[in-house]
Amino acid sequence: MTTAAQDAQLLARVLEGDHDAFTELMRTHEDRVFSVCLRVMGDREHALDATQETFLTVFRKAGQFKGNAALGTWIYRIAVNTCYDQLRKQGRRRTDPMPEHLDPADYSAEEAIDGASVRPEIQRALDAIPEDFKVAIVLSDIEGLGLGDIAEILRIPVGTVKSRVFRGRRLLAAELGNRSR
Amino acid sequence: MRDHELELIAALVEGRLDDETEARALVGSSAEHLEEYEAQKTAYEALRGAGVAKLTHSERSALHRDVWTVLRRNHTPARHGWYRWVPVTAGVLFVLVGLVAVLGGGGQDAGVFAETAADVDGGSGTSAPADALARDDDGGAGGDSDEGAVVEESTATTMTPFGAPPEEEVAAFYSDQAERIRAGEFTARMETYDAGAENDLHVCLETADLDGYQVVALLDPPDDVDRDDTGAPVLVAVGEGTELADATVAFVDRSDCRLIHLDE
Repeated sequence: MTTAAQDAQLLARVLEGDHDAFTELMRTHEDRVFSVCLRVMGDREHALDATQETFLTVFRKAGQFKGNAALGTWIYRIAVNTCYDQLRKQGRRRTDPMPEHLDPADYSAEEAIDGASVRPEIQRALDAIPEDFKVAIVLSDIEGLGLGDIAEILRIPVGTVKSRVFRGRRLLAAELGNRSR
Repeated sequence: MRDHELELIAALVEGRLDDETEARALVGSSAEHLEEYEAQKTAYEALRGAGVAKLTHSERSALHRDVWTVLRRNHTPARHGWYRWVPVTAGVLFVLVGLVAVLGGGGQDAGVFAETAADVDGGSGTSAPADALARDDDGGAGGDSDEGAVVEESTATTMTPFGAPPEEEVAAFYSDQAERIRAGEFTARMETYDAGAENDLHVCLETADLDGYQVVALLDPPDDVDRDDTGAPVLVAVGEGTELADATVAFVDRSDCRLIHLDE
């Protein structure tokens, strides 16, 4: 069975009220959603909130999924929009993210290793650049998505994705350069 | 710098080129190209080294617990306004029609009325069609909207009711069970309580913010209560050292350590 067919089947089960199907859907996508939210939001607590909101929205909007894009792409889109919304709610007030090896405090060393981390200086540099560019390079260079998928997620032309990625990299490099001086 | 030059430099940075000769020549052609290459390479390598972040075990548990808590809390449509009178009205109609049938020999007509009444009653229950799951009654764009996708509490009644009984019925069930616990009545299921799992259960109680409580019994949940693991029992807990007859009784979902009901 193709991934698209599996996605459709899974969503059909969710729409029928199948608990297990929604749990399966969450388990399949939760790490990637959290990863994007973490890079965009800048700290784990807000990222976890955004991840939760994302899946509640996925549940609520499941009937609106048309299957034109992959389910994962659709979920990414909801995640990015949710992160944007939460950043707006925060009034773009940004706090310095706690270094990930210290945040959160209750995890074992094994868990800290599992939670792949961006070095604090890189996260701070990411937080310093405009959101549109940040999201583009997070999806491209951390998540490893193709330009076409990113265009689908952000609903912008591929050419715009390219320019955001290139410019985002330049901005990030400048921030990293400034911070290393 | 032209677009195709930028793309060539990006392809070089990302290691996508089979033959890098042209790209390297471009990078070496001017300070501007070299600067572009170095900037892209610095950022790309910094980000690629980060990898995809993963939820920790406790974050993952919290995520599932919180999502299901919200879904459970909101998925049963609230009974508002005239809807609450429909079952009563239907019942009254049913009795009236029955009386007419008995007293007046209504025959077939009475049957039709009875069916109608039953239909009305059936339509007023807490169940809703499954396709109501994702109905977006706020008229706005979906989660794919540029305007964002935040779930508002007020829209939560559009979520699917997974055939759950009304909250008041659940509360009544657990209140009744609490009374039986206080009276010292233990069901057969409770006798299967495995003391060896005590430590594990203790962690579950802490998750449910029930510090100082201890599990005294296990209980099968009422039929049709929505749970992601229908095989899991409900933990029955009371405060350590309290008299059972006067105890506040807590019921905790064993599958996700969620506090279901607290009976004081």
